[in-house]
Amino acid sequence: MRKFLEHNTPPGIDTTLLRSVFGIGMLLSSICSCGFIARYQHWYHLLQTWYTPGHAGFAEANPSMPPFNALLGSFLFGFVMLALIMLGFVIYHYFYCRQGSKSVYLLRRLPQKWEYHRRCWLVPVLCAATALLTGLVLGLIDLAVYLNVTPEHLLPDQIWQFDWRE
Amino acid sequence: MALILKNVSKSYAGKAALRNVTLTIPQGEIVGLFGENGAGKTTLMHSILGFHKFDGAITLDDRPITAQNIERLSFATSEHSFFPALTAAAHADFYQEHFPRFSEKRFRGLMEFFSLPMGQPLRKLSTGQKNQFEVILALSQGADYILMDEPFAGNDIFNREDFYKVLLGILSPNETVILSTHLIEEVSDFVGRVILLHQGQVVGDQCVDTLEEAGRSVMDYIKETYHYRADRVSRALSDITGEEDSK
Repeated sequence: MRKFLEHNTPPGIDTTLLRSVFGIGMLLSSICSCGFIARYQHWYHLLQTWYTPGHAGFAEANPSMPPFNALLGSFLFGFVMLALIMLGFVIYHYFYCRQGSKSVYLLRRLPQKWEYHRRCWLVPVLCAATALLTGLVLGLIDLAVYLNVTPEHLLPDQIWQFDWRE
Repeated sequence: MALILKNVSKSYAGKAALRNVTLTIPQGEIVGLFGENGAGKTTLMHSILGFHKFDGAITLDDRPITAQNIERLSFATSEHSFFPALTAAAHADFYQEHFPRFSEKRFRGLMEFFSLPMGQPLRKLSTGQKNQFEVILALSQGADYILMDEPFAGNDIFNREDFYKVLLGILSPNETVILSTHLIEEVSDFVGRVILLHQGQVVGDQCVDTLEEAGRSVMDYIKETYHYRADRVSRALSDITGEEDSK
């Protein structure tokens, strides 16, 4: 990992900040994403309690699980925020090449035409992509749980429902 | 085999930094590039290195300067272009990886001669040491054309003299140096050609041998070209002291 970072970031840059932000960001986003499971469990328990014969109002209420997007809310938004923060490191990398000395002059003279831009862009883009991909995978897992664990008669008519008036 | 500039012009925010500069610099020359602050020396070097767009054409052996031949140019600047957090040894590794003709022998020889440390981050070196290292990298890259933009700012006279001597001793016949400096008298014995810039234009271009045959020094040529008035200081002082006396 150290060698990979050495060869794919501006030479000499301290990657501690980038690694820390990415690591902590992924951890916090993952913890936040568990909010879907907590909310889903709450509704599941509620519906199981309601949907029992003899429960007052059960026939009229016609309860169902809320739409998936309503349950998911912004629990995965942390990954999006992290992706945007990691892309901010691109600007930091370009700025670094002009600090202390103008190493940009050396990087722009390299025979390897894209070396300079690659070193500024690659790692932040990979981190951003990893964050977004992780959010997507967790979202798909959440959807799989929603579809497979929820009894069919409790699934709503529309799994995705957006009320633009809200 | 030459570096050729044809009608090179560059403006910044409407102000001309270079105006129709046309030059041919064959291999093997040591060129002194002189001019007042803002004359366009740095802009000229940056144009050759492709750091910005410009009008006109710059070719190296009849080919535009691209990633394919950029390694034939090296650059040393008073702003420094090394990586301050890396050591000299790490720079040698980097240059070996990216510049196929990097000369480790020359690099180590020069580092030893100037007693520069190999294992210390460069940001911890003094300004003079950083200047020396910057020039060492430019000389060791394996380039045919070595561009130096005021590389000795901050070095003491002994350091600079040592460097001129070493430079003359190690350069091979096909290596070209384009040296921009204000230290005209120091380098006049060292350069073979002088190019003078004024307000973005070439106002003088002479071989030192030609000047010497005519019994002129480089300094004389520069003063004539810039219409330097030798009496301007005495006249200014006379005006100033004359005004004070009358009070």
